[in-house]
Amino acid sequence: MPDSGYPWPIETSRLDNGLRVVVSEDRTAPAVAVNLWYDVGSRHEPDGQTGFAHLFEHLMFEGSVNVAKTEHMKLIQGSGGSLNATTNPDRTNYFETVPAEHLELALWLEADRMGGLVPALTQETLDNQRDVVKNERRQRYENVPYGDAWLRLLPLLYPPGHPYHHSTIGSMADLNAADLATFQAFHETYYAPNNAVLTVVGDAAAAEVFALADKYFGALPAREDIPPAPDGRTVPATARPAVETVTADVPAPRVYVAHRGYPFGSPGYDVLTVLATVLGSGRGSRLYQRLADGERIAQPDLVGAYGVDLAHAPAPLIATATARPGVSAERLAEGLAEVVDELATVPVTAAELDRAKALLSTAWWRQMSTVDGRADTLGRYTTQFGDPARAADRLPAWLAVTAEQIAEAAAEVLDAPNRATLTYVPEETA
Amino acid sequence: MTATVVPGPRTLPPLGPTRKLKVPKQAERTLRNGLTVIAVRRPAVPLVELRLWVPFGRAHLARGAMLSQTMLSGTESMTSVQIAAELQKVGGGLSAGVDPDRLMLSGAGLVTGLDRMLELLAEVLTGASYPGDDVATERDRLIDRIQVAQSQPAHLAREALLKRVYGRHPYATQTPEPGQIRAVRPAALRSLHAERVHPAGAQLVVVGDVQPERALDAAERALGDWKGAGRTAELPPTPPLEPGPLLLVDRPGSVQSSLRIALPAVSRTHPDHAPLQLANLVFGGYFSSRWVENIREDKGYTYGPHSVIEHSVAGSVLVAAAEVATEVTGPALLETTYELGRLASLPPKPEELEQARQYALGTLQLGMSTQAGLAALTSVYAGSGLRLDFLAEYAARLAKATVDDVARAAAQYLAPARAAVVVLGDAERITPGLAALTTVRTEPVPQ
Repeated sequence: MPDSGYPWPIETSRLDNGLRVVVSEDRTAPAVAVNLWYDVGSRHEPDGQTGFAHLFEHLMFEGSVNVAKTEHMKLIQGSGGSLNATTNPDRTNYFETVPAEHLELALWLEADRMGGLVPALTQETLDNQRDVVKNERRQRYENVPYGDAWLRLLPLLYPPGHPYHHSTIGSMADLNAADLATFQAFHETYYAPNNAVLTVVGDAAAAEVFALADKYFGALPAREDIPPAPDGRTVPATARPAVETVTADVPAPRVYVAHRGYPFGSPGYDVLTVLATVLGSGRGSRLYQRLADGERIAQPDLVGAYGVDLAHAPAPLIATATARPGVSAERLAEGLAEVVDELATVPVTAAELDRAKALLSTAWWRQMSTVDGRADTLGRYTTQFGDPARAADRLPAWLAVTAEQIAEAAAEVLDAPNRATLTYVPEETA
Repeated sequence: MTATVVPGPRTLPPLGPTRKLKVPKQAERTLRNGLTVIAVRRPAVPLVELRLWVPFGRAHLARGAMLSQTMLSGTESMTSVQIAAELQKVGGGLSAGVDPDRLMLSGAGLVTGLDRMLELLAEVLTGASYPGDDVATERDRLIDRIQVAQSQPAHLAREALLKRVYGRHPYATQTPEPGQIRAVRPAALRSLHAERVHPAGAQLVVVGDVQPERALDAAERALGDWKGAGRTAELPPTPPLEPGPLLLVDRPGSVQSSLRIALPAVSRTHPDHAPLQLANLVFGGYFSSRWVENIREDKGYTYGPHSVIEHSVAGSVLVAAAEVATEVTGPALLETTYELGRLASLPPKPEELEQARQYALGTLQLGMSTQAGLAALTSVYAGSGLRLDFLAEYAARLAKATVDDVARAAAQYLAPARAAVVVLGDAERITPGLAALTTVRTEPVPQ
């Protein structure tokens, strides 16, 4: 096994306009991944503009000065490639994987929408994509059992005014109020080369990529005064558990137990990553063994625990379970809380620790197994920690976590007074 | 206002030189018990992928589904949790699934755990015990899943299409009824396992960061003692597609109609396959195709129409599928028939063919760029008697197919006169529109 979590070459460059370019060559297969991280997410949105960063992500596919509506997608898919984009509280990323000979086309397309989106942005496009996003909100969050759990957990974990208090999808009211000028300003403010990282991984040489980046992105102007997001590093302890119970059209009671841990990238987050794996990953985990297999109060496919990898404030750690038929929400919540509480009192065994580390190793290498997974990782470490090479540290850091550190972290952040509990109860309890 | 700099002229940048498809080397050994092992080295990351294909044609439908659902639930010496925990120790996992051709056991984990994963695979293959409690639990889960599927129009349309296309062939029914699942007992699973889960004719694919010879040795050590000389069953070739009246499956209250069109196709090795694949892409096989352009982009009848060639051991078929709004069901069929007929009657434009060719070659390259993609492809190929080197030949056939070749394939296989058409939807609302275009035979939705 390699000692490093990133055993491939990494070369970096910075254009005069501030665009950071990261290249990791790998000639194994004739494919390249192109990835852009823009350092703007929903944490940058002021009151009254929630959902804007994400709606903007949609607008980036609707054409730019040299690219007609839907043409971006046609050109990439027409090459056999795949593409997408995502927005989260921290950042927005855009990415495509294409056969190597299409690299230049992908860079041209990305440069065109970084530098030439505003002239192509029309009221009609905005109205159309606003409707698409509203349908997305209905389809993914409102019309799905338990779909709004994340939207409900955030305000339980973060106070009003905190950059993570509101969800990335935003509110319908704010989206309805959005006007064209605001979006034009949004692009001019945040979609600047010095607020982005361009990463290319795969069948391409660094010198070639640097030259192409300069050719297509080099003339785009930098923006000097990009406003930072509000600081959310310190979240005052509430010392009072947050509890919410929702009666909804759901098939069975479900409970979420959530805590604020440590920011992604910190040593504490690494400890909690291993802890979450011991707690909730697969059939060897504590939640499965205790609640699904042992007491048989939880549905086997629906227990789990995970950290949410946010880097700009103490990040959430969430554990969840769904009741078997005939089990009440109270009974399930009690059982779930008990297993979480025991992380501080019942030491993690060597076997549990080994299993968790093996699973995390597989998960890490699976992410690294594709050129697109690698490109997104390098873009993240460049954006959030200033250095793509730090990606290599993550896996060794997980493998160094001890049982004592897990018990300490559990005692520190999983305490009941700082717990948020969200419970869903079916509408008709017959 | 910030001046916006336009980065380049309207002309798209030129494509770089097409990279040659690199087909990785493989090693192969047939063990004395009849198991074929194929190993491919792909050293990207320290992981390994396993795919075990066991021929399973004509296996009892409900018992086969339950067998795959409970195979990993315990052996003489291990419980399901112990099996899972042992796999987790090497960062791995195993899963099982069936289709009308095969039972498939898939696994992945750290390459350092390859020996252990193979041992656990052998433990399950030779000792799965189908414990009564676990069988009962898994029975409920499977019934739940089937009931959910049966409430979904896409699933019902698929079932109706399979019956229409395959008639009395074993492929005609692929999902068991909940009542049949309820009747499956552990003893039946044990005897099905004894009868059908044996090494003769099976193939194991190992792809990852491992020397192929070492992988073959590891597989031989772990699986060399897997015995069993049960039954094999040959699938008859699929029947020729019979055109006929449109089959309308009435599902009152549907807000959309599920349109399914089956057309004849040929196996991967047939000389017509590459031109037919390209003709299919031009018609409806990807986003930039004529059908998508017409009924989605231009008319907005549907969100995602798609046509694909499906290969099975006993035959191949081309299926075009779209969920269309109820009120435009007739017009959607009209446009679909028009696009099929247009391609069957007139040659495609050279630039359309070039774009389809780029797409086909691109997806081949990207599909084999990961360990998992390569493992899936190697296994599917081996299931129809092919090896990875066929990829290079297929790529060459795609590269040299001419406009004439594609036009000929389209005329032969995409002609709407040869189609079997099934529509699932609200008959009261859609019959008049459909009956204006073709003869319609109506059936109620099953149950």
